[in-house]
Amino acid sequence: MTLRDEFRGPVPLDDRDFAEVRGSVLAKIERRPLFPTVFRFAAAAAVAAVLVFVLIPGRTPIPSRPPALATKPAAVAPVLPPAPAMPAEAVASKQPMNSKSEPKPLAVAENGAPPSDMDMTIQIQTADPNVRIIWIANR
Amino acid sequence: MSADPVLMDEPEMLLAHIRAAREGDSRAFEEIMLATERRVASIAWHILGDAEEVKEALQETFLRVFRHLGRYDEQRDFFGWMYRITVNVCRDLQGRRRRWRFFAPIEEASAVAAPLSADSDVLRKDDVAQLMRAIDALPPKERLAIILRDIEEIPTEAVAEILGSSAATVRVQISNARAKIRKWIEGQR
Repeated sequence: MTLRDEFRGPVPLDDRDFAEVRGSVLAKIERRPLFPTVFRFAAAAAVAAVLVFVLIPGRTPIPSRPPALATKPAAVAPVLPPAPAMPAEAVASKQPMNSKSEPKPLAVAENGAPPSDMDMTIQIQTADPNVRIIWIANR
Repeated sequence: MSADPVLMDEPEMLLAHIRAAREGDSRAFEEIMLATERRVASIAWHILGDAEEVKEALQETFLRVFRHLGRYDEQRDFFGWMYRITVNVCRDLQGRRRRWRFFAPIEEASAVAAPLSADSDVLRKDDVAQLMRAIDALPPKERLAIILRDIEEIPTEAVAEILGSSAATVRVQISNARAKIRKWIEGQR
């Protein structure tokens, strides 16, 4: 009898125990690949869907927002008066005395009427000739 | 290192089974289990000394082997690789048992620490019991080294591979373990 047999005695498992362990291992092994297969199938389906979306030509893109807003405004121009109705002194007197900034151009309403003291109108022409942004702000 | 002769003596057949099992062939993996289960159980039994834990270790070892079969390097000894997994599984179980023993009643704990085989009446009871207790009392690394080298009769180089140490380290551990066992047994007489 070798030391292997003497130390603790022989392994206390019989054929039934070994078969039970084998069966349990095999059951777990055979259950395992289910998930990877499902994931693999799902991943393949997702890739196929993306490819169909991207590669099939002739599809009209769905506009997510108006194109005019998507692009930068082509011009931002305050509408200047064609002929200032107010005298130059009156305009100058409205400027702050110690202002270091450039005098702002006086905005007038579209109809050419002199602007009121209370509001200022700025029109922004976008790249789309049919779209114009009109900004009315208090002075 | 040895396993059941069928696959041990035919490395090509073993490799074919390993490759098939890697591809998910459970039948091939069952053959591998049949070829190695007794040796794996023997190692686990000598480390753990508890039949239920041996079954648990056996199952966990095979599951880990199957899970990591893709990482097995075919140039290396398959059985050595598998026994390394076995030892790691046993270490994990021992760690868990230590945590449990912390909460176990004293009588139960001492029964776990000094198991006696049911067959011990046919052996030289005193010597074997003392040897078992001496080995169980060793530090974990020396204990594993002596179990694998002297009890499982695995060559030192293979033991080193299983334990992830150098052969020189294992030789020192075995030498220290033998000296301690000798001293322990002499102290009991």
